[in-house]
Amino acid sequence: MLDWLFKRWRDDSLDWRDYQYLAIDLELTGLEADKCDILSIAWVALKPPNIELASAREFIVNTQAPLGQSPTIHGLTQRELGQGSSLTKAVEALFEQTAAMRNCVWLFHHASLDMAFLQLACKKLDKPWAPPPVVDTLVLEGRSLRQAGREPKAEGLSLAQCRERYGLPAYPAHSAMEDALATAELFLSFAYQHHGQSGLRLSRLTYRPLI
Amino acid sequence: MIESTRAFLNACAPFDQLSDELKSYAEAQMILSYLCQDNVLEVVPREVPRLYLVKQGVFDLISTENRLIERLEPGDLFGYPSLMTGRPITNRVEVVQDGLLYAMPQAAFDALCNAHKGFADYFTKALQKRLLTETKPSEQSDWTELSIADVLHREPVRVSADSSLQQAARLMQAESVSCLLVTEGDSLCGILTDKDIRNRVVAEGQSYDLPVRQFMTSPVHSLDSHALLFEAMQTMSLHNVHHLAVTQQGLPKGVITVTDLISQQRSEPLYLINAIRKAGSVTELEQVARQVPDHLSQFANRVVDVKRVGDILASFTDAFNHQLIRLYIRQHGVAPYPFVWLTFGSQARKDQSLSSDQDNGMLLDDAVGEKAMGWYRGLAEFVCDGLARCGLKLCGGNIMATNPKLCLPLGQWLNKFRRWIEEPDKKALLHSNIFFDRRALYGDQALFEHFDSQIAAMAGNQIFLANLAANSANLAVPIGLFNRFVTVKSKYEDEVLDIKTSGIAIINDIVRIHALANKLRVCATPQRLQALGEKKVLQASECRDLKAAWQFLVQLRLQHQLKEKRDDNLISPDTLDSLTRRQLKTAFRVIKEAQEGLAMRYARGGF
Repeated sequence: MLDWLFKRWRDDSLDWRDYQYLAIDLELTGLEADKCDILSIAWVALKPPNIELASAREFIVNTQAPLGQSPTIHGLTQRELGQGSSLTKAVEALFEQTAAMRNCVWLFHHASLDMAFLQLACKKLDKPWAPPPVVDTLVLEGRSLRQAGREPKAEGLSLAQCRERYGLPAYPAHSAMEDALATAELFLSFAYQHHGQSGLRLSRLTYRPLI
Repeated sequence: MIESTRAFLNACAPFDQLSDELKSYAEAQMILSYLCQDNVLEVVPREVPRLYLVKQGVFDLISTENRLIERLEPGDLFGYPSLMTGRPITNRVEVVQDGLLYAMPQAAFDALCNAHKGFADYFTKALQKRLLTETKPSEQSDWTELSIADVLHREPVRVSADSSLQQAARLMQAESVSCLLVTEGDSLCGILTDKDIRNRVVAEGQSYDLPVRQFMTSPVHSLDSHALLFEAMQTMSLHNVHHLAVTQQGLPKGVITVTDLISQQRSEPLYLINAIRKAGSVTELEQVARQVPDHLSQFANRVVDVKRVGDILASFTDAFNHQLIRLYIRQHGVAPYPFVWLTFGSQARKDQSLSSDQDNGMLLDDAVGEKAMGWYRGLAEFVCDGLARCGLKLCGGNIMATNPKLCLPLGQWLNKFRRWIEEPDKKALLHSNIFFDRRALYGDQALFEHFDSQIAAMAGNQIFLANLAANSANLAVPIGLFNRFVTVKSKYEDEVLDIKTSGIAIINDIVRIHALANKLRVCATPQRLQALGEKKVLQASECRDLKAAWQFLVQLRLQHQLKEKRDDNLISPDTLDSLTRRQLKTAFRVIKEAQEGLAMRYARGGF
């Protein structure tokens, strides 16, 4: 059974529309996985062209870590964090959701950062690290801009800047949930606008993090 | 619940009315889809009704007739008619700009409607509006939604392009049609109408042996038989033609004429008049009255001749007035003595606008004494108040049956008119103008006859007419040197013309004076003009021009009031298109000439 699942996860030869995606976002106390903590994890499932709003989940992680300047960005207070779930529970729920979805693909905007934190969390919690294929809208958009002869740095690759290029509305300030949904919308816009008519194998979209 | 979804729903009626709990239920029940040209049928399937809410993008909702029903933008809803009526989905969506669409399944929609009355009411109302503009109501068929095929009665009468004109005319006579489709083999190549024969053949003295081909109108304006009557109307008015060829798969199928369209329109206002007749209380009448402006503007949008809209407004006012009198009689029994409910001014002439107020009075039998007056005073109160509640403003000048000076027995009314006519006083004259347009709306016809014929006899007084004419000739028509408009500044700071006081009212005055001089008993301005023409009081061309000017101004006012949703008569010439501006100038010139003619004829010997 596990072998089969594993095979399916690694199987990225179908059309991108035949997969289910889990758009995920993490709020963090900083950028270095080994020094900083996860404050919240949120996700929403999508099966192109649909985003399943009912699947949206957000876990605030009960962390003792010093928040520093980060509350001004993610808006979470020490009090909210104190009432949150354990990191174990949040990570387990993420993998449960992943396993429940056929042909699941993880979707991030800036996958390397979030993936590093998730991998380290698994290590700390003594859980096997077996992520499904990953699609990164930041990488996709950067590649697409370069192919069009535009300089990604100049154009900007933040989630908000990418969304603006696809005519998507502004969304409220950072929270893991809003960013996950914003990423899901961006991915659908990107994929349908670039690869809506011609079928495209998922392997052309996936990003392989250095594990 | 996702904060941005909550914020979005808060900005979208009727979701904004829902409690937080119901909002988060709504969110969880919805899916959010990316809609683009390539996946329309996947996102908006034709077999599953759902409620759709646009989050982002621009989409067009298109009917089966390929008519644009609505351009959908963020915050717009669609799909609810099928959810509510269970009828199959017929409209389709076209993507103008890719975007995101929320979709809610039937069960969740039903649950929200059950849980929240405001939510359900919103969609009930939206459905009613949509039905008015979109589909046939179940009983009364809305002619604008009929297809041409629905009203096409007969097979086309065709003639070959090589037939002679005489053959064609004989065919028209035998089939009693006003036009023929001209064909070459199976295909349609032209149309030949009565008018073509009159103008191009007879008037030009052409030989009747010449072939039809030389005189037909070609190419033909044609429409497919599946097109809507509405489109036929638009095509006719666009090209200014009265006949359109109807084709089916390119083959001639028939002809549709302007008369066919008019006969379809006639039934429509009847439904509102029926509703007025059925109303059992003033409150019910008020409810019907609230639909009048919408109904009129809907109707005005569809109808070729806006004059019809004025006629309909007059019928509505009369119907409200009648029904109020009937309701009063139902409650208080019949009148102790004969009486007549009189209407004056614009209601009598049947040229009211949305800004008209009520002008009425009561004529009583001379036998009515103080003891019986109670019944009549009660009627006056009830009707005037009822009309006000139905949107006909109380008269600022107190020309209402509630005014004891205008609720009089025959003898006193006649004395009043005698004073106005025989003891002219400039001020009194201006005020009495309105009473010389009068009509019996309800009551004893013989009593009214007696009253009206005596006034008509008195009003022929030369000095009286001279004074009226002098007054009227002094009214300024707002057209000045070099044919330029003379405008005044409105409170909105734009340059405007009052087309009532300096246009419509002057025509009404001029025509009234001629009518009084000739003892005409009709009071609508177009009817008076027609009678004046028939009696050769005015030249046919004069009558025609005045009537055209009057109709143009009345239409312009109505269009203005419906479009601006204001009930004034102030037109800003700068906002008109060049054709309308030219027509307006022509109308004013016609009025000026008529004023001069009037002064020449009557004004000697006045004040």
